[in-house]
Amino acid sequence: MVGGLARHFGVLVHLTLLEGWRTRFMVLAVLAMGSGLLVAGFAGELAIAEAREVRVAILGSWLRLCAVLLITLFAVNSQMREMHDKQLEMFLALPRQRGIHLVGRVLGQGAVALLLAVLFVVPLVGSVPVGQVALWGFSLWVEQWIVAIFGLMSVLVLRQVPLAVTATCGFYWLARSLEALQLVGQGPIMPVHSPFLVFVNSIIVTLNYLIPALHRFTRAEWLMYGSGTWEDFRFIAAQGVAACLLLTGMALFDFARRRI
Amino acid sequence: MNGKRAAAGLALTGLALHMLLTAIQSPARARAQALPAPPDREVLQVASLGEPETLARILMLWLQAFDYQSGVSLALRDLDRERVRDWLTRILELDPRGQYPLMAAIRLYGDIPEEANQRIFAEFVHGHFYADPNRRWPWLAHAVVVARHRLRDLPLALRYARALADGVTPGRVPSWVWQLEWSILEEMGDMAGAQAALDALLAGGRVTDPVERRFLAERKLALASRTAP
Repeated sequence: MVGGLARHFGVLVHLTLLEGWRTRFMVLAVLAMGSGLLVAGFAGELAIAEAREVRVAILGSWLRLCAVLLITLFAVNSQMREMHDKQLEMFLALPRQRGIHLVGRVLGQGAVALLLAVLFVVPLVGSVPVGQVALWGFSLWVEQWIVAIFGLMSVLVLRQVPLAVTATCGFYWLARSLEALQLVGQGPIMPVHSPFLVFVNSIIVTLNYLIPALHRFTRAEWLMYGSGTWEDFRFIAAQGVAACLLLTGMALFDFARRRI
Repeated sequence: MNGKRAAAGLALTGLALHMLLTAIQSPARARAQALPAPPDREVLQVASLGEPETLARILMLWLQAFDYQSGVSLALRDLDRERVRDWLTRILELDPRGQYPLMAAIRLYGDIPEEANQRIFAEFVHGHFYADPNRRWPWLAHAVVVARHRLRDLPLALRYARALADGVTPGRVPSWVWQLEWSILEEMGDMAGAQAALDALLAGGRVTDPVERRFLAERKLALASRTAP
């Protein structure tokens, strides 16, 4: 039973990686990395102080945004292709629970995210301490995985690429800005008794419990100041497990009830 | 065949129209634009997508390059100095560990040979020194030099030198940081004050190098001989 499951998951991970290879996804990733190196190198030359910090901050942030955008497009496109090519029906016709197929897809996206994280760590090695680069790379992997699962879930629910990509980008923006929005909403100059503000603040607080705190992930300051700690690692690992479980559970719930 | 011709004709018509529109447009002229006021800190925090350090670096490069607008090169002295200071403040708020805004304030904008500029940026550095003295001391030390040698305002230089001496932690900065005070007092003609400052320096244990201590003791004797009737 366990061996069969592992084999099934292995096939799906292999298929997802193969799809990444055949759709030239990694070529795009290398291009993103090269353009990041050019932009960051140019910015570093412009700086009259802290040139290394300027370079690694811009390179780190660029790679992070590119990684998230690439994995979003890949996850959404991959799932949509599977649905259009009727592969999904074929897999579901196998004597397996349908949830197992989705979990395999989630693992496949994790493998692609890991490849991308390893690739994007390479240009930072040498200008940043190894421990900080490792933490940054681990965080980038977890962050991408969370976004990829959300992308999969979005496309299963919304069934349209533009809608799914927009929803995933919105989720990502919210996950990275929620703390800042919360601080703005509770700022000293805000009219605290305004019913509308109270309502909006309550929504923000509620979202805080549901959406992963991605503003604490993959921080450029780790690369600049070497300030990443074990505490950050533990937080990212715990938050990653919780978010992946929550999002996979939500996707499974929708997948299980849907008529295909 | 007809389809191909029609498509080529359509493309050529589009190209001709495009070129015509470009030709009749008035030629682009470079115009210098005023530096806008910085947004609120909260707006920048939200816009940074949780990475204020990166946004601080990008804004710093943008501000630094603002005197080179498209087609126009402005003199740094033409920039609105209060606006520049406000932007530097915002950038420093985004990344308090960054040294770039302080360095740019005193070494780039503070180097403009205009007294008002030098005062405003020296005061900027002084105002932000207390938040992180052991990291920001080089810029206040430079402000002491600006006040002493360019502004020729010795009381201001003394105020900065005292702030510097009081703010930093012994062992974290070179010992000459504490020696600015007595040398400025000597230049001001306050020999008694300079001797008192040297006494405090020697007694306080901030200077530990024997050669340096001997030099300071000799300076104290020299000051005493100059004050003797």
